[in-house]
Amino acid sequence: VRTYLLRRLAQLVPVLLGIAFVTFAIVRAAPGDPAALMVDVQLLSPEDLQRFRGELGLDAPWPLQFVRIVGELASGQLKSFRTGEPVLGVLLDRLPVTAALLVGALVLAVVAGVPLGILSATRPHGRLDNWLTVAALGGVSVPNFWFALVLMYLFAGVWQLLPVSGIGPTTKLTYTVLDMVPYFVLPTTVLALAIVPAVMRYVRSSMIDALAQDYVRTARGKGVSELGVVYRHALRNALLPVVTVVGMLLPILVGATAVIESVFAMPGLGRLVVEAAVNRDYPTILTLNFLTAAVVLLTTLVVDVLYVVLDPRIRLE
Amino acid sequence: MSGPGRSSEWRRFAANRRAGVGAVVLMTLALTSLLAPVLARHDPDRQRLGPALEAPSARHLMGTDSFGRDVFSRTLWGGRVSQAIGLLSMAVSVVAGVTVGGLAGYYGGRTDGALTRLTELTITFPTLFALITLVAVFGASVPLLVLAIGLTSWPITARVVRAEFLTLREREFVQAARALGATGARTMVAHILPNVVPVIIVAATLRVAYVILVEAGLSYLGLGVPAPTASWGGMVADGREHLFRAWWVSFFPGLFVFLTVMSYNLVGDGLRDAFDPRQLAAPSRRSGRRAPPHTSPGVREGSTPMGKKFLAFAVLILVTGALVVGGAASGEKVAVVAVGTTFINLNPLTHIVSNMRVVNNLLFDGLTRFDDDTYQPKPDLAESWTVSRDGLEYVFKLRRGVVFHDGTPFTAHDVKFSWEVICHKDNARMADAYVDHYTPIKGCREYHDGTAGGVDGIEVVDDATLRVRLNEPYTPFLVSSAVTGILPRAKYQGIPVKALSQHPLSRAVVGTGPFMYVDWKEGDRLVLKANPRYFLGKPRLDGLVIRFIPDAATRLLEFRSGGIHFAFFSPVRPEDFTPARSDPRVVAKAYTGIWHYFFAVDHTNPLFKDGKVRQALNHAFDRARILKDLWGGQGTVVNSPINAALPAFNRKVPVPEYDPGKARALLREAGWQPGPDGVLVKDGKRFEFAIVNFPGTSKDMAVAYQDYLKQIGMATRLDTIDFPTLWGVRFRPGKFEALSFLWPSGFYPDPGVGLYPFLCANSRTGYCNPEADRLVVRGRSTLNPEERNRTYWQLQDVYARDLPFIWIATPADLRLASPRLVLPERQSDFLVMKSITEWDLKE
Repeated sequence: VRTYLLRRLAQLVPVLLGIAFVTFAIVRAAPGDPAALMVDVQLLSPEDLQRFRGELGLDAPWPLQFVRIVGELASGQLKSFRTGEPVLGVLLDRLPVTAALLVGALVLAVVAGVPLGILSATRPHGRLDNWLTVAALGGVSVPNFWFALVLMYLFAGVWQLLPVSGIGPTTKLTYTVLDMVPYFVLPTTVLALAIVPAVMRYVRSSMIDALAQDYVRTARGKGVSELGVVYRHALRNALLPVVTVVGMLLPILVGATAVIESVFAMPGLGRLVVEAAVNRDYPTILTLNFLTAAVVLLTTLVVDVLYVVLDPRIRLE
Repeated sequence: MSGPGRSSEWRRFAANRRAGVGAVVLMTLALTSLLAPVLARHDPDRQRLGPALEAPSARHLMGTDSFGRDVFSRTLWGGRVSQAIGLLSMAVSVVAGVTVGGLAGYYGGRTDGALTRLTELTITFPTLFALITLVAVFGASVPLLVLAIGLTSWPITARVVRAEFLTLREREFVQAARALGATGARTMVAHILPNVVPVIIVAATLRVAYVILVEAGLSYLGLGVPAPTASWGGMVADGREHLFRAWWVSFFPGLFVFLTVMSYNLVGDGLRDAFDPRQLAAPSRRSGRRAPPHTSPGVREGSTPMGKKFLAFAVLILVTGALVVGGAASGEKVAVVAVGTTFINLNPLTHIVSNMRVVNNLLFDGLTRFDDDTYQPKPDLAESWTVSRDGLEYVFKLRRGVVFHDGTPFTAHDVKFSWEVICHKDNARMADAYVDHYTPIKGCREYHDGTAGGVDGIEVVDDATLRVRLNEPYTPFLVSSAVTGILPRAKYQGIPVKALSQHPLSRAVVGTGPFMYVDWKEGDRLVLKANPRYFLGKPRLDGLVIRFIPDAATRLLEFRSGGIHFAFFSPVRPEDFTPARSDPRVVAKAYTGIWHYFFAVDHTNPLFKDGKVRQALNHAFDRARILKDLWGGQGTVVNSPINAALPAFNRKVPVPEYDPGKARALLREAGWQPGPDGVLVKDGKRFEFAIVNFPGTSKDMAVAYQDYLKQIGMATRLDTIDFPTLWGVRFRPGKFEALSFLWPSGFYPDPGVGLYPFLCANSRTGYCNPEADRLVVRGRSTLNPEERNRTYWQLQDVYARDLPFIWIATPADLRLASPRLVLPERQSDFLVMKSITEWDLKE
């Protein structure tokens, strides 16, 4: 396992460098002086610009520039136009909301996707499976911003069951985590919808494989009930690879937060990206882009390693 | 060079009912989009076709939007844009995917390793974030969108193609071609590629679906196809504001996105089944990450179905419980006020923006404030003052016993410190002449230029006495300069002025006002609590929460559910306002408007240099009709930058009448003749320009202006940008052609305050008339009130001739309030906010 881990870590380096390079390329390729891009044009004096160029290392040869800019991005030390503070602060401030949404959506997707996948797999190409296939296609075809509005219209507008927007009750000066739960119901549901089909389809194929295995046939032969076969024998072996789906879905989910947090007015990282884009707050948007990609990448790695650690059957070269 | 039995695959596809439905829907949608010019009975951009927000009917199949435009026509036209971008991006994506996948699969080895890594990198990148970044840096345009979406969505195609190439390169016919001396490129293109076509078709079909969704998402966020082009995502976003009143505006374009994407997915899925029957037996493992698990049954006990049910139940209980708890009253009297935009910071010494003025009233006090009815100065931190006969010297007696929020006592030193910070050379506030009320103070300019170590004109006589000397009489002094909030010197003097606006203490501010800073969650809320030591007594409220809700529909809904009590600086649509009058859950109030809406042109632009052209513009707009269409008729038309409640307002200047015939005649006199398409032409140049605006009412008005300008032969585009860029960068001579903007003239207590933008030295439109400049300066330095008013009247005559702006209207400020909120009766919502200490909440 250690060699595997080392190998994966070694692979990570070029990929991280790749992300850094892409971000760097965007900064360099942007129209206008990259230094002017990174500071508030309104308040820019020539001396300021010169100083800033120095700070970014823009007067140095480009490999040095690369190191400097990537360093600034990775440490979150670039200063936002809007607040004038290092981006890292705002980022950490906004992280909990997004993290809660992501975890909630993943849990919800697994809770809904796994049983549906099993149902689908018990009789492949049966009527239920066909309907679920169509439903899954429907799920990935729904524009999330539109679905969010539809749910908002119904649950908050017509039935008034859930709050409209924000992350907590406003009529109190302070509130508890429990107070915040209703505010996360709709956004989490919409986020989960985009990935439930993927989880479901994955469980389905994994289950069909597992059900075709010899040990399942043996179990059936021994007279174990159908339910017993499905749950006790096939499911457990089918579920483990599902872990890896989480890794694959994370980039999609993270991207979707930009839309969902905007629709529901939640102060998270996704909305920050959109706000920064609208306000042309380049330091914020570039840092955010870089760090998110890095974190997503690391998470994917952790999930893969976890999978290897959890499943003793995986043979490592 | 298709393989044997391919026709059977097409038969299999034809037999797939789901795919068939998808194909039919798809073709219908494509046809309707193509035939939009024929099918759409209405011009998609033509306004006032029907009443605004009319429900679907036989005349308007999908109703009308807020401008009375036909949603059905717009949806059909919008489909052309969305589908075109979808198909083009797909092409880019497929070319990139096939190239990468083909090279990797054919050459294998190191090439494969590197390209696979690249694929992995692209797939791990949160695509939407990357796209937003690209749009933010390079600006949104159709070519950029096509390229960017295409170049971020190829990895899945690459993977599939790579797998195909890997197997095919080992096949006999490929080996044979190579043995016969075909080059690598030729082998790939002529021999392998034709066999991969079906796989590519499948991938391409599924990619179109994905790409259309991405484009719609970007357009929804306002980062996609630039306005005014209709696209589905943008239309859903436009309708968002009216969601709870007119669901159809958002619903139908969104439904079309869904139908289109779903159809592509059905067809793609059907094609895959048809071309790859293996997947019927063992469904796709498209990810290709690792081999399926095998062997060994007895694994440990996992979560049982029982456990899952329990989990679901627990979640349900939790949610219900939270709902009940969340709904319960908290006992504290906390009023919630919504505002449309967030603040830069809360420090009145570094910034002064209209909505921040109000917050400053909550957290700070100035030496004076002005009376809500008479606009005359009255005591605040200063108990009393005297002014010398020549108007050059002010002596303030300060209130004793006042303490700042942090407990330090307030003295004259704090005033001197605060005002000197404003004059400091590193303070950007000074650069904005529009709010500069401090240069009249003796020594302020010198201190700002760095030729003096302090401001001579501000003198601390003792802790409770301050003497201020001016260079020349400045009549707005007591109602504009002396009202700025005072900050404690002890707390702020260590901070370099340059760093002040960005310092944490400019967010967590310390003042003397009725409320104290508690917390500020960026983009969400600002929390304030009552100051128990406020010198006029603790406010009745225990706390005040300011929420940033840019969206009118969300605000309306929050009102109904009791989530907010008052919305400030945030217009309510007339169509929402009227029903609100009979809604017991809200109180509807129409305040006197303070915002003067105007249309401005760049006076340095050759199109508008001729005064006749500006006079023509002055007669082009039906002001009363605009008020009626957009604001339900509530408000007044305007023709001056001066607050009509002040005696300096000139009642004799007529409001220009709407007369398109006269406008056209004036344009003819200026040499403009209608061209073949009705657009005016002069010396071969068409009368074409862009109207810069920002989202919200500025954009709404711009859309209306556009319609009227078309009638007099001017072709215009809308250029919608964010407010900071408009105000900070574009609203300068040479940086715009025309713009739709608004000015808070109605809350200026003195006419001298709002006239800076017209002075030659800092004109934002390039307007410059030395005569007008002289009148402005004479007005603000004339001590005799009658003489002063006469000067301002004369000035307004000059403005009516020169037309620095084309003033349009001041709509009433329609506001909603919660019935629980006890508000003082005031003229404007600004004044209501100003008197926050009188607010109360009842159960």
